[in-house]
Amino acid sequence: MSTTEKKRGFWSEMIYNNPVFGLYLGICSTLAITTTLNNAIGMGVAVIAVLTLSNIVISLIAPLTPDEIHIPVYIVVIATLVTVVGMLMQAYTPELYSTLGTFIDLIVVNCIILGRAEAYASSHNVAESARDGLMMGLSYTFSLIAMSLIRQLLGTGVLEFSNPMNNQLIFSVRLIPESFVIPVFTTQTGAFLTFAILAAAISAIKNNDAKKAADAAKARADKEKAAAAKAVKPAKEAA
Amino acid sequence: MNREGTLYKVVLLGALCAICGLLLGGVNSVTAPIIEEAAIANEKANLELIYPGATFAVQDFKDDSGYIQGVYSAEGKGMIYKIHAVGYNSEGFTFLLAFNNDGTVGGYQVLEENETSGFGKRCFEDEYVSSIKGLTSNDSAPLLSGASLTSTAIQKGFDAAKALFNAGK
Repeated sequence: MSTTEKKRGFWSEMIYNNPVFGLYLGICSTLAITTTLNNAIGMGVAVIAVLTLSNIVISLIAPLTPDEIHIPVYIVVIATLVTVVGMLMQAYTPELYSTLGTFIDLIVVNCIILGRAEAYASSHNVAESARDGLMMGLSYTFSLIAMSLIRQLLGTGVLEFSNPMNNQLIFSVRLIPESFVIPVFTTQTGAFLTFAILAAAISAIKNNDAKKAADAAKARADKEKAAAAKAVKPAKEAA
Repeated sequence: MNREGTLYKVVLLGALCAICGLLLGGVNSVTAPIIEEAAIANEKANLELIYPGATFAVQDFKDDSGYIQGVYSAEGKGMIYKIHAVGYNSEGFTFLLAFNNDGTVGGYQVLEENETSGFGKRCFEDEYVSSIKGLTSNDSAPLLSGASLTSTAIQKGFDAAKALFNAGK
């Protein structure tokens, strides 16, 4: 991670390093499960657990792993962790497990997990890898929550969240009257629309920041150029 | 050991798989009873309709027919099979069929159905239910005139359950 990136705040990192809207990784599950806030948080917690633990384990075993077998080794680690998380969810949050269904097992092939193992954890120490896994997981969860809030709100008009352990409703608020909801947002078409809008918004923020940085660099260069010209002029006059 | 050698790679992958296997075994031993308990809890009210007060356990099964959705044992009483079959209504229907330990039918209980009234629905009325209850694991469920699609589906489900029961004797 660069010094500039480290200086950025938490929310800024959620946007700049966002795996879904910034790197376009893990989109399949994002589009499929973001129909409700419950699904988004459940899936997000599962991915945070797998991503953080896999980064820790992989950073520990990376020095022992020859290049030729590093992908099979990483896959064994990731698949084991996903299976463990799946078993725990099936035991303690059965409703959530049956709703998320096969997407829990498909965390194994989520590009974010293998991508971070390969690009970061394999070449960094345990603490840095754990931090990266946690931040990437939180960033992914942030994307899921943003998508699900928009889709659930526009598609059903209701925001609700229930306890995943016993399925008891914690809160349920109708914010849009039933006659004004747009049901297409609960479908896959709505998922693509929401994704496109959010990806465009994040891209616009990044472009705006890049433009500001370029303008500042140009102003700085002009200033330096003017200062240099000023310094050369008296020297010429003296000569 | 040479890190680039084949033996090192085989040992490393083998050791990793063994550790992962142990971890999965450990987690499974903790979660499996909870998962089974939850599965029983979901079905218990239905199972009680056939064997009231019995102690139930989920059984593993291998069914090639595709009709059997679950198998439960009722301690000291018999086996219960949860069957889903498709008759006239394309969504199908679900019922429980139980065989007592002596091979006689211990119960036949529909859980979910939306068959046509006066036709397929007759397969869930008293007359047909009592004809099923008089059968054993060597018989086949009777076909019903005017409800041939539904009763054929029940017969196929019955045969699938019967095959599992007889194989497990």
